[in-house]
Amino acid sequence: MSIDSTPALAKLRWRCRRGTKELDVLTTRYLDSFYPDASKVEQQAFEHMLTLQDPILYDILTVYTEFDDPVIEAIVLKLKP
Amino acid sequence: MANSYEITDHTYDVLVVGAGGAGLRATLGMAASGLSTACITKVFPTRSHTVAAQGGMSASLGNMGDDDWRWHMYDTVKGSDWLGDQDAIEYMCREAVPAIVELEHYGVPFSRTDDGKIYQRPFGGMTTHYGEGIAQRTCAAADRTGHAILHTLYQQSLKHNAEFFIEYFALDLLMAEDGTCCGVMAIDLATGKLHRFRGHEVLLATGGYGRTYFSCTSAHTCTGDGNAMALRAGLPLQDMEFVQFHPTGIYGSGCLITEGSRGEGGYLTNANGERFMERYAPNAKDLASRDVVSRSMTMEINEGRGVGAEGDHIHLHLEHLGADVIAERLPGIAESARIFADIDVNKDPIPVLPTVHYNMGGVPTNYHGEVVNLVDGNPDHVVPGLMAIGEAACVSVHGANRLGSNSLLDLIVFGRAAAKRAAELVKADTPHRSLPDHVTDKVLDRFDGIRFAEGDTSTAEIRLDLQKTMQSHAAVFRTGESLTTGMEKVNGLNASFSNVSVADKSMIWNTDLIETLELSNLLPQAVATVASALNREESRGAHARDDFKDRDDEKWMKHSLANVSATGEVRMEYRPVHMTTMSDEVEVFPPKARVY
Repeated sequence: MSIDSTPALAKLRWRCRRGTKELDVLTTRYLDSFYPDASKVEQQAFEHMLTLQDPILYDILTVYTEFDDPVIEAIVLKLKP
Repeated sequence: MANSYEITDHTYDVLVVGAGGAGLRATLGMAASGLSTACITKVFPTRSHTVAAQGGMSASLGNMGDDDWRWHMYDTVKGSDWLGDQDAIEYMCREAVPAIVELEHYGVPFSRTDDGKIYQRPFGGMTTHYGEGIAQRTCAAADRTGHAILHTLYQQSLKHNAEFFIEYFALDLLMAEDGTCCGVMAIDLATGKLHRFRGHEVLLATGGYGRTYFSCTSAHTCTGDGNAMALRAGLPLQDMEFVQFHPTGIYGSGCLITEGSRGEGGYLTNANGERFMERYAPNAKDLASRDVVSRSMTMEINEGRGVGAEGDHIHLHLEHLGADVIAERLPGIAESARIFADIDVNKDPIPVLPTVHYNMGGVPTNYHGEVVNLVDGNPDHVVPGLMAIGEAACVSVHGANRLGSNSLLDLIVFGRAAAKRAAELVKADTPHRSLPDHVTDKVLDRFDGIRFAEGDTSTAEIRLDLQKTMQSHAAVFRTGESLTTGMEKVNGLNASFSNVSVADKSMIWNTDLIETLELSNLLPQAVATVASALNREESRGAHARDDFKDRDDEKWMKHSLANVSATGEVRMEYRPVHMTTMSDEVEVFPPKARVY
């Protein structure tokens, strides 16, 4: 557990609490390892992804191989290089 | 300090804590019956752990062949290893049919047969004719059953004007001096404001406590907050020694590798590269049952033959199968191993270990969902104003082990039952009794004690120690010696909480504080689990003692009640197993060997 530097980051950490362990692991991994240094556009894309329903988010992060949105594709590639 | 908080008051007829399948079904039923209903949940409803339930929900609809609720009842009693209450199991299996038809009418998109009926699939342990045939009893909405149920019930609850308090963390029950539950205190994570909710019935639907263990399949949010609130209210937890494990969770994350991997020829090895299952199960080897494989893995680890730097896990090999077979038959597993273990299964083994999957124990209730306790010799004394359902509760329909697809059923049937009971017990708009200030102050004193903790040990350190201790000493391989050691360690960790440090003193989105509050919930549940496991000197269902290998019905066909004091002392009591049925349409199933 890390202590977040801002309430906004702590809020995102809470929103990385998902219904499944798999999504907990993936979203928290991105938040800790990539989000702080990501571009503003990519940060906003990640924040949007956290609003998605769990099964849709799971498919995006683990099943999909082709993406319409290059920003989302960049996030996914970071999580499964 | 307590008086410095500005508290927002709310009054409702009924309160539900938790918005998984059970909490939402109860919320819907209560709101639909005309009761003003608030549902308090720490995560958004459709992100509750029920979303992970993909397999389905059992009900003897008979759409795919002969079926009968009595056969379902027999399977469940047998699965419970005769620790389940047979009246509650009868209720669940009978009510499964109308409960699932209602779900369909609410809008759950169950998969269909060609002639338009709800499709049903076979599932382990589900039989026809009392064990003779294989039942097709499990209804599913493709592989998204849990999500479909959550989504539908949330929409229906909103339609009936239930009010949701989302991202509110429940702190404690408000208990009057006469033992009546009068409400719950909660913190709004977004604003940091405290809220006092009053309700004539408070229903705990807060799920299991998988995170007491190092490896669990449950989501991070599964910390059993309702169980801990019940303990702090002076109530016991029942049958906490019964914890269901899956043998192959990925080391470190707990993400599941399905049994299909071993079905396709995968095998396990220890640090010496030995296929150790050949010693434990010479015939079935790696295809032995879940509990046998899990126990064998744990024995290898405990005897110093685990793999990895800490020798605390096992290798699962698929690489010998060849890339073509893996790509064709196990693509999902290859992907999971890559993402969650950074392993190419074509080249390297997957690090795995037995992983907590479900908690059979919880807050004892009757089949109406009312919390019960042993009082003055009455084992079925109802605690006024308090209910519990779902994985948080111990009805007990799962007894010593749960069958697959009976968990979603449990959520729905008892969520529905609790709503019906609340509608009988509570008259809408009944005024609330006054509550002395000290009831609230007690909750706030505890909250402040944690918020302002200035110790020198982090929450993460204590939690990891707890999880590793539970994994080592209270998992699938249990002896008096291992449990005694585990008890000493868990007691020590419980005591060490007084030395916890909360660095962030703010109130808004303070995840440090919330995770510390969650740790304060995990610790007494761990104490109850180890104490109950040490106390039960027999093997039954998911509780396997190497020093008491047999089931002992004469001495142990009874429910354990663990009372845990604020300082961690445990007092064990017992409730009888209900060996009665609710009707004359089925006879009690007498105990016999549980052989599959």
